[in-house]
Amino acid sequence: MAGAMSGNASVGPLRASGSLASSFAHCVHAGLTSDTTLTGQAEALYQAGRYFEATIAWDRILFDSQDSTELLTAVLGKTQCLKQQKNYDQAYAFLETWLAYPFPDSGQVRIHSQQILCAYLGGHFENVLSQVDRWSYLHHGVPPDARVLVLKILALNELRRWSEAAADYHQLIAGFHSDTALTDYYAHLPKQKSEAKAEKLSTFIPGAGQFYAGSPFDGLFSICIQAAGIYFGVLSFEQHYYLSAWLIGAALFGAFHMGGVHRAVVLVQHYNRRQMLAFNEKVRVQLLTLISARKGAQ
Amino acid sequence: MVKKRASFCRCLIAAVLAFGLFFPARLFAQQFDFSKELKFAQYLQEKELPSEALYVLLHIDTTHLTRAQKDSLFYQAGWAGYSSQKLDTSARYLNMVSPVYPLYNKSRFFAAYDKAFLGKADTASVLLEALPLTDSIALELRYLQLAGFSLLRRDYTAFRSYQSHFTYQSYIDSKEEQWMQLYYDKLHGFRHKSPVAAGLLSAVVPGLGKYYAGKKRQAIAAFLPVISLAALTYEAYRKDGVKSARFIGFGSIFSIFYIGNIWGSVLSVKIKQNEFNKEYENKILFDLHIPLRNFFN
Repeated sequence: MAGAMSGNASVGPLRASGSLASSFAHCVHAGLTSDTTLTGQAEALYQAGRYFEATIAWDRILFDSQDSTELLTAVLGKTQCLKQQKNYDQAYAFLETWLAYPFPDSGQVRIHSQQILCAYLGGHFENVLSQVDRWSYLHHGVPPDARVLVLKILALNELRRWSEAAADYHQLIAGFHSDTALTDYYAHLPKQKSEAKAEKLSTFIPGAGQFYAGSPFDGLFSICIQAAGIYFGVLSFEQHYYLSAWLIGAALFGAFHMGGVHRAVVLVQHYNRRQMLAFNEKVRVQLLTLISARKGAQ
Repeated sequence: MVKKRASFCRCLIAAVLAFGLFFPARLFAQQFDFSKELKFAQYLQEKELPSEALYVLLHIDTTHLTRAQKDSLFYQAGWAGYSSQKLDTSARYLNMVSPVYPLYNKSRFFAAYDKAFLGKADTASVLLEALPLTDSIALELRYLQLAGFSLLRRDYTAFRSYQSHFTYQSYIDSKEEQWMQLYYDKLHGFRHKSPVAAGLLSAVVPGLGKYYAGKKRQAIAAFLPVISLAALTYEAYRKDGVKSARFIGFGSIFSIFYIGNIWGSVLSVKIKQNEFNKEYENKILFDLHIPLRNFFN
């Protein structure tokens, strides 16, 4: 949280001068807006990129107001500020406390959607799934919003639960009744390579694991450096430098061999991640475009 | 002339009346706003948002506040600083609380703890010693804190003096009193190792100085490369002679590693000592903190 306190939000000495308009609302918003309502000031702070202060302004509304419309605006406004500060976990916990508040159903739906989004942005993909499962229970049998289903599909992809993701994807696509033929991305799932295979390959054939992971330059470098170690060892041995053969040649080969095996595994992990992200991006763009198009048509 | 005078008098009366009516209203408004701000800060604290609470409190204008209001403000700001781990800010504001404030003792105890945590055990001791206490439990708690601060300063005479007041009976801090006694024994009995001896040992057997300093893994990690390089240098000397490039190359690398290992062993004694000190300082601060929270919360 300290990190969030930047710029004008830094802790300074207590103000000992000026008018009692020193009430926070006045002092932090001075010069930002002519809108004197707290909501207007909070929005102005948000627009000015002063997210920490905007969070406090929204909190002030949550503290002051009894009006549920104002409270809902404040909850969503504060969430937006926390997301801008990348405090997704804090936003998730904050929204959890407001899920039980008796907002109208539409408000509850917006809060819950935001909570699921924060879980996704925070990388808590299992939480996304559990929150989507809670949806019908919390919202009296109302099915989840299409955007929420997109988040569920993306979370399933992240967890590499392809068959479940594909089922939800097809169900969602079917609901759009699109006139044009849509690309079924799940017909060709992203190719995921095996870490174990890369490890074995690099153990028995230096550099092969890196080639398998799609990094030929890494593979060539690994082959060269290990070959150099062996060459130095053999040459030294032939010239009767036995200690050099073992302590330099063999040691270099051993160290780079072990490093090469580990590197191959890491490269496969990166490859798989890149593939999954590219696939997720395609699915995300397709689904969100469909949702936007449907909203435009309505 | 008379008209002018009457008009002036009317203006004066109007001004006095306006001031009389407006000034109390203004003061009332200020007090009302202050109370609201304080409640808002408390609300933020309850929501576990101490940084936000601190921000709100530090932006309150203190010009027209009464002494009691200032005390409430300083106490809250100090507490928010403490909760958000801004101990310097916390100590500053807790120290500004006046003796008439009901939570003055608590403010002082925590300000002293903040200071000790920030490595200013001397200032912490001065803060607590000046505190007028009558309650026997609070007195014993102060002796514990002062004894802890003495240990942090490595002032063993002062520790023994404060420790003589321990009853080991108080429900608040009897365990911590025993712990302080143990820490005293450990710190007092700590055998300081010699950096020179560590360096000499590593000169004889590479890595032995680190073993002596208590860094056993590092000793092995230092021994292997130095011995390997020594073997390579010997091989180069035996086969190619002193003037060979091979001998000069390996000999130079060996020398760098050998001297580096000796210097590393000298430093490792100091590092180990610092680690020991840090470990016990953390333990002392932890055990000073628990009874404070138990007593005041």
